[in-house]
Amino acid sequence: MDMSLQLLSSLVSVLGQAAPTPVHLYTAIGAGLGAGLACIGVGIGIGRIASSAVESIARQPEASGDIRGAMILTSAFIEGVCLFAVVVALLAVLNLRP
Amino acid sequence: MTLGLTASLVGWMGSMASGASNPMDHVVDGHLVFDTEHHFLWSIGLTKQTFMLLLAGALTLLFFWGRAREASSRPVPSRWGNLVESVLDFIKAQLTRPFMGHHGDKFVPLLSTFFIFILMCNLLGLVPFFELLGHGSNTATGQLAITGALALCAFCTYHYLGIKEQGHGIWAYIKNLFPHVPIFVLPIIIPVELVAHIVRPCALAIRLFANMLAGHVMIAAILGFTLVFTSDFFLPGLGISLVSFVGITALTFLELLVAFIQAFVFTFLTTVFLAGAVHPEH
Repeated sequence: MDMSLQLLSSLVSVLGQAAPTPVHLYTAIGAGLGAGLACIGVGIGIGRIASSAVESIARQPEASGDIRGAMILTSAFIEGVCLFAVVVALLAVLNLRP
Repeated sequence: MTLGLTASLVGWMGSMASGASNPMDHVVDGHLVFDTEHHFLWSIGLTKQTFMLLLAGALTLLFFWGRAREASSRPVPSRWGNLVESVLDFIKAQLTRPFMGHHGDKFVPLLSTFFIFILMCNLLGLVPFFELLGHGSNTATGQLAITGALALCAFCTYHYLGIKEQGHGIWAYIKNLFPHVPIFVLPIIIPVELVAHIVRPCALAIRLFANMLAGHVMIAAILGFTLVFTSDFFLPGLGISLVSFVGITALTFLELLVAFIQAFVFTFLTTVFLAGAVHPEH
């Protein structure tokens, strides 16, 4: 267990040659996992928005202007939620937590 | 083939010129290039992002300069007046009228100032030549302090306008903030609504900040790939820098779209909160 941790940390220090500040291994793994998992929800959400928007445009092409506007607006909101998680991950990695 | 080689060479030289291979160095605040003696400007608070904030304010002023006088003196607007009128009409038709009806026409100048100011801040962050003005980021809205201040302005504005429009004083306004429900539900409703009211401007600030920051971090990271890979092996590095060049071009177009969208989303949410403060529906 200890040797695999050492192996992992040496791998991270080789790959992370551009690492600015020293950070715990678990902090880096946690930040990466957190930011990545947040993108799963966003992908599903924006996919559903896009699918229902495209379907409604197919059903009623003369409303496509309104539908396109609503699609872009709601996608921006949901993208914001993913970026909240990215901000938290960045805070963890940059040692800015209290 | 030569096009690809020159493109990747340009990308490689660009990343060499950008200095650090650490992407976060390009998105944090830095001192201006004419800030030489003991960082005097930094000590009074004039960093590169603050300078961009002031520049965006000046551009917002220039955008609207003289249009009101011209609108009242000419029957037909000039070319620039037409542009300004189309922006104001967009905000009136899409934001104010659907939420506040005709009572909301007096808030159009406020909301369009928010929109144009945030748009100018976001767009100034995309201009590459401001790299020469100093180190660090040139997106003013890429700093949580600045977007937090904007959200605080919006918060104070819509609460003040809500108190003024409802006209019955502060205590009646605060009582109107919470829905009128039977008294045994109130211990649940009051903390929930209080948290919601506090979190809304925080969400405004973080949404704008994170969207602007994330785009620039991605661009800086992909540029950093070029630097990292060409410093070790030149020829595969050329291929990677070609790919990153194409990626950065696509990402910059996406950032342009996101700049407009995030300015609109901030203004849209401020309108919704203003409508909720001026005409509480519960």
